[in-house]
This record gives sequence, C-alpha cells and structure tokens, in this order.
Amino acid sequence: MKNSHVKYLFLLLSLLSLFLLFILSLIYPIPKIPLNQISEKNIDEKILVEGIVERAYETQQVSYLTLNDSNLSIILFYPQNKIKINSSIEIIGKLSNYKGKLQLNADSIRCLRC
Amino acid sequence: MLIELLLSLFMGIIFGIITGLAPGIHTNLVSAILLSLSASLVLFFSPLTLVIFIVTMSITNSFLDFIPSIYLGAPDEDTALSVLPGHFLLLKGKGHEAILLSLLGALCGIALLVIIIPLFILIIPKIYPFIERMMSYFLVLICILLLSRAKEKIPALVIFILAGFLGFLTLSLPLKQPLLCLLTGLFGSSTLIYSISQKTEIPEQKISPLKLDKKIFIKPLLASSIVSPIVSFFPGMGNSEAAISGSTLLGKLSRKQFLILLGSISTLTMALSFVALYSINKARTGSAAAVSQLINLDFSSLLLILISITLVSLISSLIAIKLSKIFAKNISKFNYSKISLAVLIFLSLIVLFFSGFMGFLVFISSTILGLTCSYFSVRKGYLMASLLVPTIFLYLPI
Repeated sequence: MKNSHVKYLFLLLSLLSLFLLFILSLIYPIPKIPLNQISEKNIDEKILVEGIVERAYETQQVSYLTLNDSNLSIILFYPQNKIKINSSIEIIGKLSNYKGKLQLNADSIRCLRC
Repeated sequence: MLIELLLSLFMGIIFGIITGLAPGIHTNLVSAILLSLSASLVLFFSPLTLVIFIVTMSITNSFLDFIPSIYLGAPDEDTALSVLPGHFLLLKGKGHEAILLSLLGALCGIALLVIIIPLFILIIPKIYPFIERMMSYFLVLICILLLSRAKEKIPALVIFILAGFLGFLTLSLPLKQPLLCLLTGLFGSSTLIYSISQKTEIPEQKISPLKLDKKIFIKPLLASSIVSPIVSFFPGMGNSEAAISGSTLLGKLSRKQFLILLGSISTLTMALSFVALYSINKARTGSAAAVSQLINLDFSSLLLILISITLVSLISSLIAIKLSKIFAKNISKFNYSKISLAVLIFLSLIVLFFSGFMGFLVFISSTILGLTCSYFSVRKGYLMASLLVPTIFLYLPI
C-alpha cells in the first residue's frame, strides 16, 4: 500500500477510535457519588460530586471549598473567583487521604447555579 | 541517624535505577506504595529518612529515565519528547551522545538551582497570582506560536485538534493512571510500531566524548531557567510542555540543544518542586506531594533535601553513563524489531495492569493517533495538545 494511502487509513482509524472513546465516555461516565456516601474505599478514584458551597476560602495558591455539611475538603489548585457561598457546583476530581482527612483534588469544576 | 540517612540514600538510588530503566514504572507508583506503608515504616524509620528516600529515588529516576526513552523509544510523561531527537541520534549511531547531552543538561539544571532558588523564594510568591490567572492565555499563545511554526500547517492543526480531543476524552473517563495509557500510546508504542514497520536497524553505536561549543548551552539553559520555575507550581504542566514552551520562547533549537533543554528541565523542575513546597506550599510533582504528607517541610529539611539532590545527581549521572555505554555496546547486536516488540508487549501489560481494560482502549486509540502523526510526518510535539488543551480549559475562569 502506498504511504499516502496508509496515512489516510490511519487518520480514519484515529477518528473512528476517538468516536468509540466518546461513546465509551457516555456509557461509563465518572461515577457521581452523593456526599454522604463518600468514604475511604473511594480513595484514589476519580469521582464526581455535586453540592452547595457552604464555605469558600482562597489563599494565594489554592482555593478550599466545603459543601453542604460534608467533612470532605475540596481543594482547587487554581483560582476560582466566581465561586461564592451558596453556589451550586459540580466537581470532578481524585479523592485522596491528606493527613487523615478525605480530600478531593479537583480536576474540573462546573457552576450549576452561581 | 547518619547511617539511616545513608541507607535511605542508597536505597533511593537503587529504586531510582529500577523505576528509571523499567519502561512504564513511575516513581509516583513507588511513592504511593511507600505512603500506604508509611504508618508501619515510621515505627522503624524517621519520616525524614523516608523523605530522603523519595527525593533520592526521584532524582535518580530523572537521570536514568533517558536511557529507555532514547534506546528503546519507551518514554514516560516527563521524557516523552526526548524520544524524537534522541531516536534520531540513535539511528545515526549517536545514542550515547544523546544520553550524554541529556545528562549534561540535567547536571546544568542542578547547577542552575544555586542561582534560581533565592530568586524563586523571593519573587515567585509575589508574581504567582498574576501568572496563575493568566495561565490559560499564556498556554493559548504557546499553542498559536507552535502551530504557526509548523511546516505543514493543515496536518499539524488536524493532529493538534485530535490530540486535544483525545486528552479530553481520556480525562473524562473513570481511569486509574490516565496519563500512563495516554502518553505511552502517543509517544512510546506508536514509535515502537513505526520502527518495527519501517524495519529499523540500529547501527553500531559510537562511544566518544562530547565535543561541544559552549555557545550551544546558552539558549537551552536560558529557556530552562525561565520556564522551569514557572511550571514548578502548575499542576498539569509537565516537563514536555515546559520544553515546548521554552523552545517556543527562544526560537528554533537544534536537536542537541533540545536534549540539553529537556535534561535541565527534568531535574530542575523536580528539585524546584521541593522548593515550591517549602516557599508556597504547593506540591507540583507526585514526589513533592508524598513529601508533604510525611513532614512539614522546614528550612533545615529543605537544606538536607538540596544537599541530597546535589550528591545524588553526581552519582546518578556516573551510573547513567556506565549503563548507557552498556546499552550502546550491545544494542546493535540484538534484533531491534524483536526488542521493540518485547518492550511493546511489556508496555501493553503495564497499561492493562495499572489502567485496566478501558485504559487499554485509550492506549490503543492514542497509539493509532501517534502513528497517524508519524505517517503524516508531523512533529510529535503537537501531540502534547492532549495535555495542553485540557490544561487551558482547566485554567479558564468558569
């Protein structure tokens, strides 16, 4: 097969495989876990949580959030000035154990009602 | 205490060699295992001993990492781009020279620490909020500059967009170790398959001392000094992205200069991640994050870490030179296609083990995209859009 044919074949395969991954991301979304069900067994897992911001605290380096009465501490390594108390937000992140406490290291955050 | 520290230094070097040479095994994995055992380990060792072990392992790993990247085409996240100029020199019989250039860069990176640390501690906390808020715009600018320098603009743009989309999809799947399957496919397995398909034969490798004009160092070290402190506190910014930013900032770099740049960035960002932990309480690397969970880093501990880094850098570079000579002497004696196939199987098993079946699908997808890039003769640097594009969106204000 000519090289020009091979390259277009691979381009087609790339598009097809990306489409399959897209379908896969729809079938297997990141699991949404209610705040009261998050426990140590979820450590190292990528999870999605939703809630209302009860406390927001920002230093020069990071932002910390607490959602509706939960013990979960959410940490964002980037500034999010628009998040105010009582905002309804959705966060995707990896759960970790930081000095004995559960901490969600946020990868992305979406404001549902700000 | 001294014997305990020396023991941790020794063990750190041993584990650093293992993680550095074994394709796909990252120091973060060992740090994570160590942390999970830390409750038991602190009964026998002081937390500072464990910290020195992690630091030593990480620095040794950053020196040894270049060997599988260049000789076997099996990189990890931080050395992904070294495959390209390194592999080119390998095919010219200059694989050892590529290693020496990377190591020289890495050692220069350690030397640069002396100048950068005081500036880093004094200036970075002040300018940090501004840079962070402007981060997404800086990254967009880098992307535009990168694409404007492409020889074949349309194929480069297509690859860039597809890689960005792949990055998004990978990060939106519930995967463990998503970067392992993504980057191993884009830069490792695709290079290996392309080598096998082209029936690449590795010529006999020349082992000769480096003869370099001093001027060759100016651009890469200047770029490294500017970029490394900046990326040292940005999660999502890897060494490869830093190298792209650096080379974009100071114009075209030769292959040799690029290897020096990547070498210096790899050690400098690793070392600075501990300084960042001390000065602005940010853990950018997995190793710094592990350290932050073991101790509250004070100045005396930081000083001990920096002394260990300097000492271990010298030892690791000597070990890396010895091992590179062994690889250089023997690699042409073996059938490279068979070695590539063996490494490919090993990488596939690693991905399957750590990222599961879904991760393996991402690995296949990224391998196909990596091959598409090779067949279109587009620079593989554009595949870093898989990290750059999601990072831009991460930093965009919501």
